[in-house]
Amino acid sequence: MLYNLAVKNFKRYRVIHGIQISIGALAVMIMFDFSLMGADAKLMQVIGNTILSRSFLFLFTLVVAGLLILFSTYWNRLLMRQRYQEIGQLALMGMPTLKILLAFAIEFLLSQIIALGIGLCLGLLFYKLLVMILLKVSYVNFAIGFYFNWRALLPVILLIPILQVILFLNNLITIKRLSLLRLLKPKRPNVPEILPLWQLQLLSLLVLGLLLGGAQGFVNLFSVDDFLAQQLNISLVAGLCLAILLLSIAWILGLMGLWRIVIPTVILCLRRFKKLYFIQQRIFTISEISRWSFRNVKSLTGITLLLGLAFTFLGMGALVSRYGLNTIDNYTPYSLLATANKQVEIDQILKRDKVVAQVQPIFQTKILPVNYNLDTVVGHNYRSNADPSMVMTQATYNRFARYRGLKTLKLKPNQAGIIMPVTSILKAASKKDIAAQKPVVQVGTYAQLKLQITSITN
Amino acid sequence: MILTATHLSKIYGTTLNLTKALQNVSLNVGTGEFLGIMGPSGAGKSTLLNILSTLDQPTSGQVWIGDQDISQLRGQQLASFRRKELGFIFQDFNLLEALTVEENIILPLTFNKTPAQQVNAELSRVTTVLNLTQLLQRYPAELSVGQRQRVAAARALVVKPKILFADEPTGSLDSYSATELLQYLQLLNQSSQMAIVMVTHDAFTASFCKRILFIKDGQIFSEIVRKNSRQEFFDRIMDMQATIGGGGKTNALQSGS
Repeated sequence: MLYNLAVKNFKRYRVIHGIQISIGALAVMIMFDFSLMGADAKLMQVIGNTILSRSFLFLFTLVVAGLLILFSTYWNRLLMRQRYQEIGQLALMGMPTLKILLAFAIEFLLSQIIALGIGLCLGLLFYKLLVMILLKVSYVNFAIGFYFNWRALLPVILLIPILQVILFLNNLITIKRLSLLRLLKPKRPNVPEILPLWQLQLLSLLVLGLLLGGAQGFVNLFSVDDFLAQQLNISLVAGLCLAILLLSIAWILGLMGLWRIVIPTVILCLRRFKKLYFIQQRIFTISEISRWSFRNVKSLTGITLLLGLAFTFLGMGALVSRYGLNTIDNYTPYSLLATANKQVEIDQILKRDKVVAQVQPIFQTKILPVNYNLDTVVGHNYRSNADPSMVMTQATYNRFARYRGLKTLKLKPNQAGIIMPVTSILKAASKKDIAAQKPVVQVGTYAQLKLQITSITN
Repeated sequence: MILTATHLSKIYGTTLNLTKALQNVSLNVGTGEFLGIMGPSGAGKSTLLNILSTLDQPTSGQVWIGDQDISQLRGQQLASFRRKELGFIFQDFNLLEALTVEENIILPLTFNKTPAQQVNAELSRVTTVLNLTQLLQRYPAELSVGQRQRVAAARALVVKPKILFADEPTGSLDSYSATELLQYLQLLNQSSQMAIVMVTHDAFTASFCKRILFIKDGQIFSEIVRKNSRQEFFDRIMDMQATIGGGGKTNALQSGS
């Protein structure tokens, strides 16, 4: 009976379960692919030390799993709220609470199994594509085929029982907390106060502007942080933190406005066209979306906030890790870009300049990244905590250079380039002294973050 | 007596903001009685019904159904008591949308683990009385509001409860469907020993009852019993409603005008 009830409810709430399945499948796919990458020994040999380490991949897997758990918990809460009356009715007819919860658990399990199945299939299908993209953007030539590993499957499959236990406990607490009377109370639509349509349209434009502004701000994070630092006369680090804070607020407010203002306004506008408004149809039409979104505006706003925060932090993390470090004092990377066949020549140059370099394993690519510590460049008289772990490929550098309005690199097969960003760490040092010790690198000032590029040709 | 309530009080809120929803209410319901509870909005009708029907606990006082003090029941015992002895009809029908009419009706019997043969017999009994035989395979969304309320009634009656509690059962129905449902309830009440306790604010609906308790400000204000025709009873209900509101014949006679 429980199974039949769960299946029937699953069919009845197919739209809501469908959304959960889609997002769940996507998350499972990403998790599975990260997990496969970590387990792929050949791939890790190539990218493990430079692009993505095993621990990073494991961390990404955990983050995706965490996001999926958060999303599922919130979505489950939304679904439960929709069905308080149903739960109350079952309890009133004498169905024990545990059985009610089991019926719900079976229903959620069905959607999770479907999401897992779809996600795993998609993961296997897209693994090659995902790795190829990763290798392509990293300029690594490596033949990748289909890959499968049981060990990679395990963390993904383990997620289902963990999720089930979390949802079960969450539902148990929810039901136990509410009285039978509260459960049976009919849910009245939470219709927000409606402003005149022209005001809503104006507000919608403002919200969209805020979202666009936020997105554009994140893309041009360096310009924004420079601007803030100059205008407020603060350090670049403080400027960067302030920029991230302001842009995050703009993005989150924009996302909230999207649900509370823009989407209701679009629905109100669409309502004017009667042909689109099939109130008697059983399919999920405008009228149903309208009623559903108005009724659940708070929950939807919560989900949006959650997703918005997740994406904001993921985006910020990517930006900060990839480019942001370039602008943060004490963490400036120093990279030398060169073609693979220039290694001998580069070694000679580095030796001549008394530079001790940490040479990364050779990629099957045009670019040979060589990182070296600033201490070794300027001698022991100068302090530097520069982190040599960052690898800057030509493509990455050029992207960074374009944002900064700097000269881009066009390395030919027989050319190499040295990129030497200059930081405030060097401010105390005499330019002449440094120039004497490191003749091929000119020294600029931090405020403009000038990059000196020296091309070495045959 | 099938139901006896003594000195019921219900107080909501905190120390600083107390609301006395019920104050010292006592009442009896006889076997096979059709009792109506009426009163203005906020008088405490639904609170009283919720307490009588085990959905809520009184702040003080006792409720006996048969020989069982329901305030002593908890958890599984209470769920089992509700399942076997009580029936409920609400204004919002509270049908499970995912199940067909047949599945909705027999659901309480499946919880009782009733044998299949008996389930079929009970289903046939209630669907015949409530004229639902042709609708068994339909889903609630495919029914009219009147039909939905009849399904809700069938689901409540299928377990042969000792008492049926109905909270504004005609509140969502048109006049035709309301009359039809009330006639069915009256028929069931007369043909079985099942008592009905119904809360309503509508005089026409209340006129189907045998006795009506009027509640005002959480206390029993008055009681009227049907003696003659329904029309006469309806007139008395209307007058009592007006009296509670400050008008009516009773007040007029008392004031000598």
